[in-house]
Amino acid sequence: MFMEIFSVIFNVGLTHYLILGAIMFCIGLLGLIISRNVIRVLMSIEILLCSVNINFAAFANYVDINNIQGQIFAVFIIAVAAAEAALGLAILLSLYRNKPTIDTEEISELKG
Amino acid sequence: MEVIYNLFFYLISFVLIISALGVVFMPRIVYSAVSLILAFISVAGIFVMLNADFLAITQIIVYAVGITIILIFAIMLTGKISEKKLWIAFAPRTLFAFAISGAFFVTILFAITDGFKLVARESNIFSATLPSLETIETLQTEGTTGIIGKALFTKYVLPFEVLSLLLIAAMLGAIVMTKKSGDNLINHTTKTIEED
Repeated sequence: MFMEIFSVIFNVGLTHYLILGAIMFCIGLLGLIISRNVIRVLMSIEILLCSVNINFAAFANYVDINNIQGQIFAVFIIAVAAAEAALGLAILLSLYRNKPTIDTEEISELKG
Repeated sequence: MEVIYNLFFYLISFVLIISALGVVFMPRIVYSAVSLILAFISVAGIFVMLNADFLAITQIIVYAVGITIILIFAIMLTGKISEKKLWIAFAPRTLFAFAISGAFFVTILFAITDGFKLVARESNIFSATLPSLETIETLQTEGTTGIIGKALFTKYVLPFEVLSLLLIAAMLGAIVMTKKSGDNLINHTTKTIEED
């Protein structure tokens, strides 16, 4: 009985990958809110996108192995993430030129 | 064979979770950038275990090299202020963030394990099965690049073109936003052409 439960939990399946994606998503969400550094906020967004990619690849492997559509959408997400990182850092640099701070609590011109 | 697969999964996911926590909780921003590289390479390892070789290589090329270099350049260009006080916001929103991410994790766990009672290999709620050995063999000998390329140019050709438009727009936007307001790019180039 115990060995059966242990083998069910130990053998890696779709659920393990989904749990890994959930852990990564929660770490990224945590870092997105509690960081005071703008660059670390951008890093947390990258972690969020990576966790979504893990979920897409896991579903492509376990549900849709013949025509792997999850991997195609993961490729799209990677391209959008590259564009997002470039634009975010460009916004950060132009903001730093006007007001030399990278603290998220001092950037409050928009009263947010 | 199965045991080796499972052990590799647990090893890679342990490294991934530790390095992702390091990104959030490292006191200096450069350390967390290095930890981010480790996290991206671990995600590529997870992709290899999921029979997604093209995705793993793309992950290493785009994330672990490209985006990390952009981030390190941004750290170097903005790094005058002492970083110690910028670590974690000791504000009410920190407690709120812990509470909200914990609640989110418990909710996702409840949903994907069908109420904490199903961590099975063949999950019933997603109708997931283990991929058959012949399919895995075909994927591992031929690679997934052909399938992805064929799909990108037949079924998903419109999103592909829209994506190229988005990349061009992002590149132009990055150039326009980071140039100084004084220098005029167009006049500068025309002047050099006339001099030649």
